[in-house]
This record gives sequence, C-alpha cells and structure tokens, in this order.
Amino acid sequence: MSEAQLIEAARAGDQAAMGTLYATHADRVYSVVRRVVGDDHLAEDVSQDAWIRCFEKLHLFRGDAAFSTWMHRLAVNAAVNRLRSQGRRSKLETAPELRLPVQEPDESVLHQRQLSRALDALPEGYRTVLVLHDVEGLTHEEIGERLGIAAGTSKSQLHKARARMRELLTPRQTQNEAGNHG
Amino acid sequence: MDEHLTREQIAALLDEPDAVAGGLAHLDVCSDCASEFEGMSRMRMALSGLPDLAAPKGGWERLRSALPGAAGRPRTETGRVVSLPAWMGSRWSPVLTAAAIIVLFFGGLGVGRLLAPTGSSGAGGADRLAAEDPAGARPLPLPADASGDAALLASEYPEYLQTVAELRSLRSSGPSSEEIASDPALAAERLTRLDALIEASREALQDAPADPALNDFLFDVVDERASVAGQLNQTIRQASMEY
Repeated sequence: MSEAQLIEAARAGDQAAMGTLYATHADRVYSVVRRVVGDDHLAEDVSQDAWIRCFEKLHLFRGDAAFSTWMHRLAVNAAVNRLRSQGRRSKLETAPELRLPVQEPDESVLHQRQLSRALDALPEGYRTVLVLHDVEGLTHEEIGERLGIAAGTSKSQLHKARARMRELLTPRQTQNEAGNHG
Repeated sequence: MDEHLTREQIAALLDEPDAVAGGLAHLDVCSDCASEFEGMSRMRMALSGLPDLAAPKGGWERLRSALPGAAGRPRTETGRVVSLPAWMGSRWSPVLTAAAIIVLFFGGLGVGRLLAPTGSSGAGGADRLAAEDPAGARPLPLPADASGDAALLASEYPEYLQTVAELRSLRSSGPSSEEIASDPALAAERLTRLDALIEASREALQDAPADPALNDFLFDVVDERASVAGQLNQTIRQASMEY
C-alpha cells in the first residue's frame, strides 16, 4: 500500500493504516521533539500529542508536501508550543552557566553521545534554534516563523548556541574569548 | 586584527564569510582561531549527521489508547474512529451518535460505489439495497471503471447494510408526524435533532463532497426539517389564534 493510500485509509479511521504511518515516522518525530525539548519523558508526551494532532487533522493534509514534511512541522510546533506553554523557555540572553565535565579535547571525533549531552545542557532557547537549524536543516526564516521571532534573531541565537556548544564540548584553553594574541 | 575572534564570530563565519570584517583574513594568520573554526565546522557537520533517535517502545499502543474513539467514543466494527462534534454530550446523544456514525461512515466508505448497479460485485446491487432499505436508498450512477472497486468493497457490504438498518431505526425512533403536529415541544426536539444531523452531514461532506448517498441523506434531512418547521409554525399560529 502506498503512503497516499495509507493516508487515505487513516483518514477513514483505519487503525492498521494509522499504525503503519506511525511506525514509519515515529523515530523521526521523536528525534526532533526530543532534541528540542531536551527531556525523555516530556518528549514522549509531546510526540504523542503531535501524533494525536496528526490524526485529528489528517483531513487537512492535501499532499502538497510530503507527509514526512507535514508531520515534521506538526512535531516541531508541538514541541515549541509545549515549551512555550510551560514557560520553560529560558530568556535567550540569560543562559545559565552550564558546563559538561571537562573531557580531553578530541576534535577529530565528535561523539554523538557527547553532542547529545551538550545539546541537553544548552538553554532551551539556544537548543531550539540550534536543533532546528543545524540538526533539522530549517532556514532562519522558517525558524522565525515557527518560534515567532525575526530571522535575524534566529541567526544571532544560532551563533551564540554554537559558541556555547563549543564551550561545553571543548573549553577553549589557550585563550579567553576575544583575548589578545601573545 | 590583533584580537582573537570570539566563538560567536567564528560561528557566524561558518555561514557567512563576510559576517565579520577581516575575519577570514584573521583565520589565515591565527592558528588558534583557525583551529576553533575547524572544530566548530566539524561540530556543525556532526550535528547535521546525527541519526534519528529510536522512539520509545510501546508508543503506538499508548497512542492508540489515547486517540479519539478509544475511550468509549464510537467506531465502526472495522475499527474506524468517528470524530464526534460537541453536541454528542447532549441528552439525545445515543440517537445522534448513531446518526453521526452513519453519516460519517457514508463519507468514508464512498457508498455511492457500493450502491451502484454492478454486475461483478454481486452483493453491491442497488436493487437489492433498495429492496432492503425503504428508508431512502436508491440506484446511483457509477463511474464505468468503478466496478472493480465495488467488488473490492463488497466485503464491507454487510457492515453497510447494518448502518442502513441503524438509519432506518433512527428515523423510526422519532415521534410521528401526528405527534409532532400536535406537540410543539416534540417538534422543537425533532428540529434540534435534525439540525445536528445536518451539521454532521455537512461536516462529512467536506471529506466526500461528491458522495451521492451522503448528499441525498442531507437533502432528505433538510426536507424533513423544513416540513417539521412548517408544522411547528402552523401549530404555533393555531395556538395563538385559539388564545
């Protein structure tokens, strides 16, 4: 059965078709939600919300874009809205001082686990922009639309987020930020 | 440029070489900043290549139990979930729920194809349906290439007949024309039910705007509503004249 047929069946309430759609896209949805919200339990809850919304709104999906794109948008919106509704988004300018245990700098290999831990340690505002841009590949315009911020704000937050990630991963030891050359 | 670039500046240079005046030239002469630029570039590449995380096990089972329809909300025998409008909680909910099931079932199934005269489907003949359903089923036109679809859907025919029976039951469960004519309260109640049916029908038609059975059903309900409203007006006029 093609994806279009699955969607049509799911629209009619066919649970087998819904289950197949879920199985096909569950990891993708969970991944983006998990990385945006930074918490396992919250991610599970938000992912479920996104899927419920998907099946409730499936009649609105017209196939102009791929289902995966549509679902991805629902997932991102669900994650962002949850953070917003819980008031958990840190003010972007007041990122707390967070630091991972210092590890030996090994820039040849950036371990995925290490990256994931650093992402989780980022302030939510930074993390959201970084995940959406560098992990999910959204443009600043798209991020601005999802988050309700200007594209320029998204850009500046991305730069700060990358800098914070580097701090967490490899504290700069040979110089201070903007330090002088010897 | 005598000072090192900040990490934010280096992060900006990753996307826009002109983001920092003299930034790229500085990288040519400063090994520390060049190293940081290289490390940040690799970090960005690693982030873009992060694999998907595995969704927690049992997610579908939890989702299925949370979906509308799982907690006592109606669904068809084949598991179709019916999305219910808010009025389902009203005092007429059993009747209206049954009506909504029928209406939405029509929309989802594409009943027009089943009702059409098809030589190959056997069970889907309109004559047979019309004979078994005096409530209003009638032969409907069928696209020439739809007979195969009708055959495929023939397995759902018994379920369809059941919904037709529910429709017949629904229509017969209301008060008679005489009762409605003599009791304004009954007429008003009937109008409320018919309004709900009209609302549900129109909602279903958004998904299946060309479904002939659904359109017929809506027209029938609208006609009946006009009739009941006329009767109610007449009753009220007579009552006021007597008063």
